[in-house]
Amino acid sequence: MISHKSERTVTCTIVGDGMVGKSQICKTFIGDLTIEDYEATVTNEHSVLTQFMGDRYTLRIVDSSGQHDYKDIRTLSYKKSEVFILCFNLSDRDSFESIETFWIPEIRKLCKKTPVILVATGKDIQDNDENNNVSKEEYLSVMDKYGIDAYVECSSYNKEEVNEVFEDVLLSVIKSKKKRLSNIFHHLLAR
Amino acid sequence: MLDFEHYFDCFSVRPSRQNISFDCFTVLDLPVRTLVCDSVRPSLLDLPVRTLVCDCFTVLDLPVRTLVCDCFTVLDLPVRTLVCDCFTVLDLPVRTLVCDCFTVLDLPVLDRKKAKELQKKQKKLHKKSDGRPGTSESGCRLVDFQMSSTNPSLPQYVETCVEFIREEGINAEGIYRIPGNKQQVEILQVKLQEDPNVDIRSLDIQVNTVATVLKSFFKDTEPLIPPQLQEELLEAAEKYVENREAGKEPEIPEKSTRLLGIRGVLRKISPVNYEVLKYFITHLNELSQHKDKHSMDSRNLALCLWPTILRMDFSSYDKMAQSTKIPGEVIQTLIDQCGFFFHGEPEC
Repeated sequence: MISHKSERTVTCTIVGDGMVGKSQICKTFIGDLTIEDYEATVTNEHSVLTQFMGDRYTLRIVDSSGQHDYKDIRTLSYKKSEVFILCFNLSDRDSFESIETFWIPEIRKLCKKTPVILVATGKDIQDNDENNNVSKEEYLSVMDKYGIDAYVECSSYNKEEVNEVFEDVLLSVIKSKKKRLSNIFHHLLAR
Repeated sequence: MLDFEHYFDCFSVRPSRQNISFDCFTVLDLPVRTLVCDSVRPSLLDLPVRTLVCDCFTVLDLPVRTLVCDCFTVLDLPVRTLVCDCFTVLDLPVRTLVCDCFTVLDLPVLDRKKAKELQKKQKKLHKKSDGRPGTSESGCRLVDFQMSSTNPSLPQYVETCVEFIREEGINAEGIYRIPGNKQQVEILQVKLQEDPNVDIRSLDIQVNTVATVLKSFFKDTEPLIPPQLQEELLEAAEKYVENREAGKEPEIPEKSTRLLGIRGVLRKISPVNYEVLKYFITHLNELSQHKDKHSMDSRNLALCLWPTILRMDFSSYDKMAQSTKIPGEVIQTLIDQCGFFFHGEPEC
């Protein structure tokens, strides 16, 4: 029998332009099957118990507002976030461009080292205008450029794909913890 | 301490006063309200603003105008040092001084005739609004903008944006919610600063970009509803919301009293701000009538716009999470009851 010695709490903030499907990702993950509503989020918080690699975690998901000018409200939760889920919509080029022009700068200004996971939503939708669709090469190059830890393509309504997002969340938190520990270790050895 | 590099940048931008103070707010990255409060609050400034600024320059033993010109236009000079000196000598908060500099000193304005006209208008308005609460003295006041030819209390900048959104936004899904492309936003901002009458159609710019530009205009200028009135407004509305929350449809006379309370607060807003608020809310009300086409009903519009209209300072995440409800409800009420609040119609 696996013993659950400690139950860790991991806090993540989900960000990205308005209407890319941030709240829907949260809803799908927590199993809220209510019919899609169309209400903008100012701020919202979910707590979910989950299991990953044999350990139990409480995931605190802060669902934030995609309004660029809501910075004062949104950034209040940044400091305690251990990981960011940064979303854009595959069929909305503007939301992809905002990643570079807006979201990465906003996050990095306050949290220099917090891991970021790039999530491409709307896997199931294609825009009629080819120019609006974002190709894989494009976002992979953004990933390299900013040292983003992982990326996931999903449809906000697909439970399995959304689960993958949150597995990556936990994985990157564990990784960054280990990295920090080994850094300290190396530092000590080098002395 | 503030970053003087930024500060330096902000002086090198276009030489109109409006633009500089506008940039000052965006570059220094401080909540506009803090800046405004600092410059307005008399407790921070025992001296009249003008004296203070003059002092600051006489300490350095240079004619005011030369110094200002040097600071703002000649980029080879060690502006940073000068500015630093100013501040250390006077031992005043940097913010206060910067703000004062912009509001008091006559910076070269591109069109002098227009500037004079503006000043005249300002004086008139000040006489009218003397003694009334809600007149704020920010470096970026709405009265400083070029006014519309059809409505002397409405900045042309706002009218140009709203007119465009009124015509093009009805079919734009998520209008005011989906942000515009950043590059386009910047292009349009520059165009509008150069000429607020610019024909947006000729620029091939999407309607949600225009909405984003308008939102950041309101965010960067003085608050439409000044801080002290904002508190009153929230108080008046809180009671209204509480009743609605309790599930019981409030008794008719009671509901009316609350709405009257809110309307009373709105009437205390200074004339230009009131006019702009009325114009903007009326526009939102019209827009929300077409919710089937763009999915933005009054509630959704309120959720995407209340922090633009109301300026709340949240000290912590938890505090914020608790108190975001009321302001959203207030703006929704304003939009829904627009006719009652602004046009003398019966409540609906």
